[in-house]
Amino acid sequence: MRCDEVQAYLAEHLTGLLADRLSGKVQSHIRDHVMSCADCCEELEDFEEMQKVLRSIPVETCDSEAMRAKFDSLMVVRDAKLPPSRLRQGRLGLRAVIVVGGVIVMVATVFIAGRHHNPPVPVVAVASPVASAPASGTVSEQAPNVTATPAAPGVLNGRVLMEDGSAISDPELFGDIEIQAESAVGRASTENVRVDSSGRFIRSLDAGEYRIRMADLSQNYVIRAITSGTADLLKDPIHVKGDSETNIEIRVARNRSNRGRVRGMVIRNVADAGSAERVTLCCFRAAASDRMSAPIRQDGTFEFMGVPPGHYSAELQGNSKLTLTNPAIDVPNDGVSGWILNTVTPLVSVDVTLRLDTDGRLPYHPGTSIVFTSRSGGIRVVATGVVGNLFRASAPSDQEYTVTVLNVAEGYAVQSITDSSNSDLLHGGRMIVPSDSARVPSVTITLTKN
Amino acid sequence: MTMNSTDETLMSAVRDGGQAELGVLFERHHRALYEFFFHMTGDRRESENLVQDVFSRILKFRDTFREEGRFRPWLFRIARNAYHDHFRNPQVDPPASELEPPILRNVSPRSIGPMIHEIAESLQSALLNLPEDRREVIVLSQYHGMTSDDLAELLDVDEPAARVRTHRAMMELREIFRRILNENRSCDVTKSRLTSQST
Repeated sequence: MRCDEVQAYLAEHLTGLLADRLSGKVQSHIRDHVMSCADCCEELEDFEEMQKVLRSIPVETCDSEAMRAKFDSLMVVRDAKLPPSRLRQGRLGLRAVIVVGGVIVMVATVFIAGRHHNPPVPVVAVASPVASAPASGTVSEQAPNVTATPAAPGVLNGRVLMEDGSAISDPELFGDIEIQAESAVGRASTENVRVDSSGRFIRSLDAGEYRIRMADLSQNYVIRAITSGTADLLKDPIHVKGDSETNIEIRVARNRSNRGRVRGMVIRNVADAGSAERVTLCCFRAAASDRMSAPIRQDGTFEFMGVPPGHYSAELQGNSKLTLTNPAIDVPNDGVSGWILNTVTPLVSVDVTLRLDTDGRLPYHPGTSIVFTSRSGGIRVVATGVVGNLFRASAPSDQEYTVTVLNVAEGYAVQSITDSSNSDLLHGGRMIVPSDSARVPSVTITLTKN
Repeated sequence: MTMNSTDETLMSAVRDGGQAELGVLFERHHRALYEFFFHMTGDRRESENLVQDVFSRILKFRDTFREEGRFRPWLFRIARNAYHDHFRNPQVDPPASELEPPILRNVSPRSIGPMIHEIAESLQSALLNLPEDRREVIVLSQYHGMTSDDLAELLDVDEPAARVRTHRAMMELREIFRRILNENRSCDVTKSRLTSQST
């Protein structure tokens, strides 16, 4: 294969997709060629470095919730405006027959009534809020024009009660509860509403189908039922009608089950890092997420009750700078006891530059690694190569580190290691990584040829 | 059924009037589309609006989706059209220029390190300086894992032509990247020389 033919494959080779598409023979041709051709090898290295940087460019995250809400409103508008699709034609057609049939029946009834009573009875025909019909007098032979208008919003009126129908005894326990209505179209949470101190909530909603659930439910309670009349809303969505009120009732009970008990302790390794007040457990599922929180006691312990089995991640809340090192956990049916949550101070980026004393080009040697070890030896961070001679580490802040270089390219040795304040880290000096410095801490490692 | 269905099955259902299926497609693809637009424009709000425009177009042109076709190239063809139509509008400012690499506009050097920030900034400038058709193939191949087969289908060219186009775009990006990096570096050298003279 010629260089230009090989090079045309290199960009795609970087994506890792080439292997799936090309035959083994072509792949080995490319590999052999790159191994023996300095130009193509350099081209590949250049592309690899560019790709690493391209992928390190951060993307500002989008507001998925707001986008989803906008998308849902688009769907509602489209539903009203678009010509019906093939499947919907049948349903709408039936609806149209029912409406027209109803109007005909109404007109016929009034017409017959008019015949039987003399003089004719004034009639006001209202088929919709803007239905045009004779305001009074004899009814016309023609059916009134029925014009569709958007329905006014409906009102969802709800109450949380104890299982036996009594009022909730301690409304404060429900202060953090949110009741979330989910659109039947996909996953979107469209409305949130807070329960007031008397256990009531009210929300204006567009007509449509919604699912009702409770988020952030106190671990001391479990839901027994969510109903609207005879409808079981734990199973089915609720249909909110426009311009009318829909009542729902949520019955809860004290959680006396030991099943799904999760007990653990937060270890505060660092002083002066503030105090975490609560642990929150989050479980992300396909359709929604479960969140529950528990206070951290004086001795660092915490306890959750009735945690459904699943994969959870923990977060700390409160005035704390601590970062959890092991936030993920699998909760089996019978719960977890003795979960130790380790904490460190916030991670800070450290830039590391590897250079040659002559300022010449460094040999390509991806095996080199830079190790940061804390004074106690309890924290060990390895910097990973980012691009060429630049490395980057994420190290817990407010610690002192020694810095060592492992696996230098053959024929080279470390001449010096200095940090931004020119401390000699090669001969016993320690580097302090502060959490609140305006400058990013950096280390320069100078190599020399043996 | 919908959560496990393929994109093509869902889109066929949307074409036949399904709405819930479009919701699933939105959940699956809105982030990828947003990132595509963000790499092309560098503007979050504009990118979010363009994603909405794409889904609006999907509804409008749902009948053009063919049963035997693949959804992803079809989706990105709609996204490309939405992007080009948007910037064809004379009232809309063109995408950000070389003067301001917008992707890094809201990223402090502290969060990713000054040297990496400098290099990423240069590469982002280089990407924005590429002609739109070149930038597009780089964004699609490097960020969205599109193969030259996918690109060929999307761009309506044959596979070798798509492969060569990607390679040329990468080479062009490298040239501009090197030029900008050298300009920045020589500027740094001059600045440090001036600083040492003044002290």
